Amino acid sequence: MFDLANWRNPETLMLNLTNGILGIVTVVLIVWISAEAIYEHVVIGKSTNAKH
Amino acid sequence: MVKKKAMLIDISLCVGCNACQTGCKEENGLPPNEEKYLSLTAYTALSKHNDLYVRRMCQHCDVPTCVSVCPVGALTKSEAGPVSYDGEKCIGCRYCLQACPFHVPKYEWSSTKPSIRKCKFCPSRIAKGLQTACADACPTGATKFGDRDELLLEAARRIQAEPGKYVSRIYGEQDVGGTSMLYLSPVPFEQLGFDSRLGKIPMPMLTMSALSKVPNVLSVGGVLLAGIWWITNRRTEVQAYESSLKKGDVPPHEDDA
Amino acid sequence: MRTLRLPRITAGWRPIATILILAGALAAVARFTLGLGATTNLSDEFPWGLWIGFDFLGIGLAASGFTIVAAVHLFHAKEYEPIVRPAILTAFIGYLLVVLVLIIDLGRPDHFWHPLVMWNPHSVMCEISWCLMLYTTVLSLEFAPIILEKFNIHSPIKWIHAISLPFMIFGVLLSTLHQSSFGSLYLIVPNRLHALWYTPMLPVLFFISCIASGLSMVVLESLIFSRKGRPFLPTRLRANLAKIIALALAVYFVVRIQDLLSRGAFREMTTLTYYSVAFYAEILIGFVIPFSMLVFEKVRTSHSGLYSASLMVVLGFAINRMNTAITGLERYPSQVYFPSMIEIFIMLGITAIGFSAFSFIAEYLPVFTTAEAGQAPHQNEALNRVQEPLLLPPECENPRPS
Repeated sequence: MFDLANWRNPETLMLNLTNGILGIVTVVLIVWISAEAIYEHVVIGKSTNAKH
Repeated sequence: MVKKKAMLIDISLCVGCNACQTGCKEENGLPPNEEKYLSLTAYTALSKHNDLYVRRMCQHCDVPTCVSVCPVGALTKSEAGPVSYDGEKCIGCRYCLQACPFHVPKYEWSSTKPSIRKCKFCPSRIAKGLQTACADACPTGATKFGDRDELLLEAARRIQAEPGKYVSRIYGEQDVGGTSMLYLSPVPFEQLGFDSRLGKIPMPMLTMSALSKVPNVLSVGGVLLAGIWWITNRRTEVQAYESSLKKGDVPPHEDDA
Repeated sequence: MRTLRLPRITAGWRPIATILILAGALAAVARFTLGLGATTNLSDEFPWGLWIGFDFLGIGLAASGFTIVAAVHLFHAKEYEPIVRPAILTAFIGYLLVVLVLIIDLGRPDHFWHPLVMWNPHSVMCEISWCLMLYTTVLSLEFAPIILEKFNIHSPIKWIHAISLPFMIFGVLLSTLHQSSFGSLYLIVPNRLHALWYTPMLPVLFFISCIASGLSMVVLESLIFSRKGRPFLPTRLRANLAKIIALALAVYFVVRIQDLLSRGAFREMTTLTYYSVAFYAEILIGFVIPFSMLVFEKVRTSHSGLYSASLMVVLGFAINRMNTAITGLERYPSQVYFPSMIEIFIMLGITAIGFSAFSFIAEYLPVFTTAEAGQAPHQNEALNRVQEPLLLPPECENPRPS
């Protein structure tokens, strides 16, 4: 996935950059969507409790 | 009528010298290093099982699976035996890699214009009446080149002459409908990595049973669907007619129930 | 039962879709400049991977096109007319996405046009290529009136309607052929595909399951686009579609289990292996559970119940296609295939393009209106809300009776 041995090679550089960016995007998306799901769950929890 | 060529590989005669691989690499302009497995630069390779050396390469089947699955006909079987590959036609779908029961084709994954690589069966040499490069290089006669029917007789003769020496089976005689590479072995073939589940029916027959039904589906299906359209169309007309009857627009017809 | 649903995203799914599309574009650039070897985890042992699995999946989900067209225009079930256009749109986008991924997966994408002029009639893949090309043409003809209506160009519409019947019959036949042919692709590898999936009945099984998945997609869409206002498709009709889905699931289950038992796969089914787990995942999620839900009228007429059930059918269908295309294939002791990030992001990016295209077209073209010419989309208030999170399940308080 990441080739750090000959990173000066332009092709390897491009591959490393691409995988790096995609890795960051993966983390961001997972955190974002999980947070929203948890938030929704918590909000629903509070609103159903509030009814009583 | 070109005679079908084949190679008889007698595993009991192979000493593992690797001359076949060297000869093949030289003939095809491949790097001369010794390789243990089939690869992009080794169209034939020896694998060691205890004291025996087993030579594997493209089997150049009589009814090749790879030829039947290639959507653009990049792989073709010639009368003399070789299964040849035309990289210019290839679209890179890799169905041949998926379908080959012997896991032969190797793909140039690192290229941006990849092709598959495999043994070619030295078509130019065969055309000139010569042996294949590997058969030529083999010092012990473990690899023997010749006409398929003659080699089958030769193999049967060897088994009969020394019954204890060989397993009484010629691998490739009928496997997947017969291949150009015929093997004789002193031990059961399963122990040497040969797939013995393959059966006698060529794999392409399995797909044929489905593909041959295509014209039927088109014709029968077409008539059926058109007929259903016609019948249900009548019903909608009848419904519209009956509803206009109820409204009193149209006087009842003597045929109405 | 807790309903299965996707989370509501505060800012809407649009930013996420945009991120996915951009990431996918970056991954695609890498794939074309660096080649398959560097950017994917495909190898000689695993020549087909995520993208081929995605193609199997996408084709089945796009089966909505031919099933609904057959129902409405060939079997004259006119009451389902409102969903013809969404079904055709789903199919059209689905097929374009599949073809796009197929071209990206090819080793020589510059040769993608070869099957047009070089063909091998013995090859299932050749038959599929032709069916895909022809059927996408049929779909574009079926879709054209929607665009022409928007721009008030009416004369070609009459011409298209005149030739529509033979084209629709042809389209249904083409779909039947290639949906089953995707299964036929694997007929030639009995030595590689695991006993739980390999069967000469593969084409039949693929066809039956695609009917269930295609209709489930249609049901899901009609549920999602029925918010804040009258239901897009009357509950009764949706319930009828659900019945057909349930029937297709039942037929599939019986054919599959019977076939497995007659081929002596009982042992495989009852031993705990990686394969049997995958098998039960697809059978339970995709067939058993949704079927047992859909037999109840209460589920068929409730928004949330139907949403969960059809989502599960789609999910189970996805698992089934992935199992046939990837998981069920020969495993090598030292090697396992898992898609690379580039493979995953190209797939996600293309999926995001599909969803975005669908919502964009649904908003600006007369898709969710009746087929009568001249019905301007802006007259339909509900459509203006289409901007909001599209994948949200509808509010599951009392569903409005139709």
